Amino acid sequence: MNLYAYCLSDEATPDMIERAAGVEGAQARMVEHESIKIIVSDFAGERARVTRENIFAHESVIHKILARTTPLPFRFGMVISAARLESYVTTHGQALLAQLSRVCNAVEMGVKIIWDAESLKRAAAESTDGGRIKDAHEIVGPGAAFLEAKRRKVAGDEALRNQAGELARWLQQRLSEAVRESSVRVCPTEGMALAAAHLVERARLDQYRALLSAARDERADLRFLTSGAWPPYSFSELIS
Amino acid sequence: MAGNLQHLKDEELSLLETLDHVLNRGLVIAGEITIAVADIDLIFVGLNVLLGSVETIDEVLGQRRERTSGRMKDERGEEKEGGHL
Repeated sequence: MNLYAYCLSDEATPDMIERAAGVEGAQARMVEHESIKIIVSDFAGERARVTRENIFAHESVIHKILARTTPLPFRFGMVISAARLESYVTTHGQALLAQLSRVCNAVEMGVKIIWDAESLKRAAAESTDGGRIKDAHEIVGPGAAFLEAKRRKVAGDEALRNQAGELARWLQQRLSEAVRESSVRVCPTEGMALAAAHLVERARLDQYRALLSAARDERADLRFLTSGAWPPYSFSELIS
Repeated sequence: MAGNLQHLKDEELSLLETLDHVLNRGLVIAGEITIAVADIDLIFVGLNVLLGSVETIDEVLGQRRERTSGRMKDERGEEKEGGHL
């Protein structure tokens, strides 16, 4: 019998996960090694199925801990033997405690900004033409047409990245008072300007939300997808 | 793209956001993460909003195609030849 591991904590207590149904419906419980508590459930298989029920069960168990203290969440799918888990915690105990200290009393908030990338790229490409698009008769031959299309694409992509970078700096500046740490991906997809994860102290959540609301009002041309509070998935460094 | 999001229910957006977090990030003990993609609602595939999660699942689907050597199970759980997941 394997274990399915949900999260690590130095402050969790068993009452936090009373009657908590986890992946594949198994009851979550707590084990402890080197003063680190690990939330687990029994798991009969070798692989965790990515189903709606299992995804939400994984998240639900961790959120029960998050309601009282900030854990380090495992990525979905952590199926492991009890011996291997104990070895991992014993080997990396100090580093894990340092990470728990890093996220102590904080939660992760998510911001994704969505924009009309095609329009922005077109505008950028046109601006490099001095404000006009070349007429068909000006593009002679397939080679020239290919190069022109390539030039416009490169100009558009570069403009998109530059604008996304500016947006990321703007957002960071607007939220800096309430954010302990940030993890930002610029242009993770063409339709998304940025995807940001913010580590926010629980006591500053209201301030964070107010600052974010003001930022949204400032940029009504953009679509903001906000989410949270999450366990600090983006601030749980990978340890092999 | 943004227009597509307007048609998503709150529950679907919630699932997308949850997938983006739990599949892409968090603690990993090297070599220990294995997942089996099964019956997940692929509503986000065409949206390209959470590309990271889609890529993760695509990688897993690709690995499964190689491992199963072209055999797959239909909705009734019966194996049949060929096809794509």
